[in-house]
Amino acid sequence: MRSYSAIIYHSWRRALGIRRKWTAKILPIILYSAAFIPVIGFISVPAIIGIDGFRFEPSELFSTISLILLVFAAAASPEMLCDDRRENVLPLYYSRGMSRWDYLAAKLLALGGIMLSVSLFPALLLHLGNSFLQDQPFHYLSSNWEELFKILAAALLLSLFYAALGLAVASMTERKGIASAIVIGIFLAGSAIANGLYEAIEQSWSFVFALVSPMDIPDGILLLVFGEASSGSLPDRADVDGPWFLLSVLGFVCFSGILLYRRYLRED
Amino acid sequence: MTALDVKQAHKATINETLIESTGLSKHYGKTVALDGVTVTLPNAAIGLLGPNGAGKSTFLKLMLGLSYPTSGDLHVFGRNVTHDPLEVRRRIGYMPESDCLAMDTTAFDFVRHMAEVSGLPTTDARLRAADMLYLCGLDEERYRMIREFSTGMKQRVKLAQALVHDPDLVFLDEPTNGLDPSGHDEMLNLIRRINDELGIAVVLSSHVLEDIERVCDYVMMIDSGRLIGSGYLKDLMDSKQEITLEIDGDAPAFIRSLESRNFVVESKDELLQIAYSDDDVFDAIRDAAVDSGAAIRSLAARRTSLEEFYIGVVERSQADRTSG
Repeated sequence: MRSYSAIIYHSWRRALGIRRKWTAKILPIILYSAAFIPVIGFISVPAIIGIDGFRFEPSELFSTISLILLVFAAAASPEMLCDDRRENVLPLYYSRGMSRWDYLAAKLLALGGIMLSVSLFPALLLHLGNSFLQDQPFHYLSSNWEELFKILAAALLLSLFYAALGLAVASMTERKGIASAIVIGIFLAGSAIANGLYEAIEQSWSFVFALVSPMDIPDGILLLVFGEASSGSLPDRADVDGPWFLLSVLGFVCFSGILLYRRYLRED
Repeated sequence: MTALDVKQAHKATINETLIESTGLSKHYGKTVALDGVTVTLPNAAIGLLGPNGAGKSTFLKLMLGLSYPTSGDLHVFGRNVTHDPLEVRRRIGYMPESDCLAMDTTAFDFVRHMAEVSGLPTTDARLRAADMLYLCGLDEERYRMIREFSTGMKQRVKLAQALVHDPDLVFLDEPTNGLDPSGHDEMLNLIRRINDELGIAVVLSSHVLEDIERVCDYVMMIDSGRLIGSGYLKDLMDSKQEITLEIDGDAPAFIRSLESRNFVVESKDELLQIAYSDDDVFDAIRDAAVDSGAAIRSLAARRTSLEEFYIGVVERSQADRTSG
């Protein structure tokens, strides 16, 4: 376990710019601010101007946060893998009492952990804030306990989805800038193509384009967990049942796993 | 009992055989990197010798369990590396030939990180990292960024990370590459100290024969993936000693007298060359001089260098392959 924690801590340091030059800290600070400041606003503004019973839906917050997660995945996943490959540090890891699988699992936990900190904590803060905006905060919390599980499920699925895809792309190149661009490119281009094909091919099976559109999967996850997707999004238009998106996320994770296996785990 | 005592006691109980391979082969497609290597290596400073592309790095990768043999068995510390690679690797340190350091970090942070990855608790990792960097001569510079280091300093960081988790065996792949003469000399002294003072067995892979001759007790020679020789360096060298003699008097009688005592004598440009393996030769020369009435004008004993020995072995191996 010490090997895992050492790699996870080291990866966090790199991705968040800790004990690195100040330019490496700018993006993480901006992204964390973008995730938390709106939540603080959603809670504090109604509290200050005195709107009783106001409630901002966690699903709406996740819809915004998924964009921040995309940028975080594009920035952090190359930091996790590319330097180790370019600087040829991998033989040193592999020559110790850890396997290639251990290394990769530690990296997935590291990136998943960062993604979770961006997705889960703001949503929990919002949930807590929503409760204090009610007349009876503790009654609100106890009667909405299932909301906590939904928040946890959505945060976990979003983190897993972005972390797996981000790492798979980052494993393909040693150049961090290129890896970041490819991550963003895959999401934008993949979604544009899926949306275009959905509009062009009006068939009963066209809903599958919603399941393979990377930018729309987060909306699908929200549909799965909260029962509602953003209005006008592909999952909303295609009228897909939520559980399909669980399969879609697992499919993306398996696909990423195969890429990582080919890149890291296959001997010789 | 101190930690050092425990380690020394542990080492005393280690089986004298460190590495044992039987019919070890490794193929990459049609390329044969190792071809049926059967060897037993003792717990000592071992030199792995061979030209570039001979199969040294492949042998190291197999011993580390980073690659699987196509056929044959390989045991390190009595454990089968293919079946139990993690247990073997926990007791091994590895210094690769190529660059392998994170440039955007300090030497101390990097070595400490590698200690933690090896399983050491944070406090122990910090202490061991400081100790190993001190041992490797980087005490003053340990908080400098690795990207600012010279080649020699980077080699020292690589060595420090290989030692930081207190391994029983360390693999050093071309550790003197790119070093200036003084750095080269210091690195070899350091490697010798690792074996002598820390009691860590060393496998030194190199194509520089002088490095092996200076540091190692035992040598294993590979050429084109085949084992062409192995043994204690002292035994190999002693088996190939030579005396050059210059005499006045009846040379044919002197030669006959020596040959009757089972010595091989070669005559070359008025000089006589006698191959020998022990000090009895000096008594034989004295007796031959008395028998033949010859006077000895000069006598020079010379050990064959590892280079001469190695070239001889490689030539014989190549001749065998050609005729076979």
